[in-house]
Amino acid sequence: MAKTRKRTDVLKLASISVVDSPAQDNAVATMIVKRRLTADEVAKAAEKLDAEDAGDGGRDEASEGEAPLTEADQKALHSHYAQMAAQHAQDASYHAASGRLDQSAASTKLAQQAHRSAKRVLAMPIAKRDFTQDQRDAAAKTGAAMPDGSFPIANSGDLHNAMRAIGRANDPEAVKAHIRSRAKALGLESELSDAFKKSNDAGDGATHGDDAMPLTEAQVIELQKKNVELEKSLARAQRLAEMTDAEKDYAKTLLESERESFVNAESTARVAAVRKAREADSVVYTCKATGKEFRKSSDPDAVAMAKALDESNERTAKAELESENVAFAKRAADLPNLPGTVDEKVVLLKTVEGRMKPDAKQADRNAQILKAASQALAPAFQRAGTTGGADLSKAGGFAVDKVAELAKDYAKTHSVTIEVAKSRVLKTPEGQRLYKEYEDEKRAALAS
Amino acid sequence: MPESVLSTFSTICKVDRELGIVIGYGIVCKERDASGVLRPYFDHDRDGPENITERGMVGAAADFAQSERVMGFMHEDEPAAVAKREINRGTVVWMMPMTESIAKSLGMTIQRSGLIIGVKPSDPSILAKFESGELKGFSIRGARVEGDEQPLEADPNSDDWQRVRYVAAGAA
Repeated sequence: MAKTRKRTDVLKLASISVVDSPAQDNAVATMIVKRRLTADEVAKAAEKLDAEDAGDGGRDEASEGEAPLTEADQKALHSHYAQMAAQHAQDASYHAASGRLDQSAASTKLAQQAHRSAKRVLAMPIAKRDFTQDQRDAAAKTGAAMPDGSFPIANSGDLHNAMRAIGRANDPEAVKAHIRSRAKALGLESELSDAFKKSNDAGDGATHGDDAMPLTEAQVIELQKKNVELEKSLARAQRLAEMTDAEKDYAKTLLESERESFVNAESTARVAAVRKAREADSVVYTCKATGKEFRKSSDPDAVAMAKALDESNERTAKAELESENVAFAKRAADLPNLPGTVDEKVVLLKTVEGRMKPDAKQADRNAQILKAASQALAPAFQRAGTTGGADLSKAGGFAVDKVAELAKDYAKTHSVTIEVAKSRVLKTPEGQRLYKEYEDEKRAALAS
Repeated sequence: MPESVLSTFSTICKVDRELGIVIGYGIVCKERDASGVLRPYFDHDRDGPENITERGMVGAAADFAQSERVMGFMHEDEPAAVAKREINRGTVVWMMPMTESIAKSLGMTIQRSGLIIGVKPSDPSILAKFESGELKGFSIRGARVEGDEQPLEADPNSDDWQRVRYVAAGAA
């Protein structure tokens, strides 16, 4: 089939595959691999930075080695740390918003470290410009450098580098004089720092400070602006990390502009705002079934559902109670001789079976019913008299006492209970004799 | 209707490892030329250069979005098994048809129009292959239903196109 050029405007897709060899000739695959640190990586990095801070007073990568930087390196390094700080601050916000406060705090700490490093880079010395030996020799001949070719000064940058490098001079006063001379020759006296304007001042103070920075004013302003932005970003990340769950929930209910000012507010103001909002948004209903509180701002449908659930539960409970009472009422009908109404008997039965806990009044009534029943039964247990009229209470008294006395001794001797001792004594010949004596006396009493 | 590898495109814009999603153009319809004009993009299909029009892309994307949104791997697997999810390499989780007019209405300037997708491989090793650069792009599998054809020697900007209905023409 001859190849044709096709223009497809109706097609059906079955799948989209990932492939290694795209057909598009000029397709340049642009891959940006953006990866957040894992919790472990964040923790390890924070730990390392903590150790560095504790070990050498905050010395970090930016200040490792005393080799001065080139101007370009300084800018690149500052940019590196500034970006790192921004990324960590962004991570901190991300983790905070996701409720991972530990990771957010760790990222915030990393952001702070990077931010400090970025600031430190700005204060680092800048490397002197590279001169070949020929250039140095030529400069020495013209007086642009010291006689040995050191401290060549051909422009403003060289002048600042020379001022910073004064600490390395073998003869500081001679070098300072050279620097002043070159500044004058180049019309750069205004750029001399205070330490170089007076011939008898020590020069090592010139190795630090903003006046030693060879950046242009515009560059410095730009870097400072970036620092301010970073500080703001960091502060925001810290506030997000510090926010409580209640504050985060409240923030979600706000408009974008309101949310930003809420996040930027002080902690006390945020707490007050949340409290005020909660007070204004009072509880309108508490679900009896779930205990959940519904506020004015709650979804009306959700409140209605909660109420419906409670009403349904109440109806069910009421129906079950009525059904149960009917069953107990039937059983109460089987107790016609008990005083009290059917309802009172139902309460009594349910109390006895543990189906309800009576209140004080019901408990009193239960006691009254039982007491009345007891009184009604009392005549049935009264002693009507004895057969033959004989008093048997004292018959065999000696034998009984004697058995008791023997049992007491036996119990003491054999360390057994009095009941065990009595049964054993009654099995002995003496015991048998005493028992016969008791029986005889009782029979005699009945016969008399 | 036979399914075949229709076209292969590649522009991976981003790999988000945390989400496990690779984002890029699944279909490219137009590309901006040197003069800054968006022109139909013809890929190098083995049957000849092919362009999927924005209209075709939008319609296919709408259908595909309502299907299983199957992500394949190197077109290695049996299409039927993939379609039935007997083999699950991943899912096309995001789809946005970005036509010239949509971009304009959204106030966006685009270098190419087409179908922007986000695929989520089910196997982390596939994601790692993107990160390592082993995998570079996307390729669609499906069936042409209707379109235009012209001889290779014809001018693509001319009206010398012949309408083709692939089903009616017996392509099925």
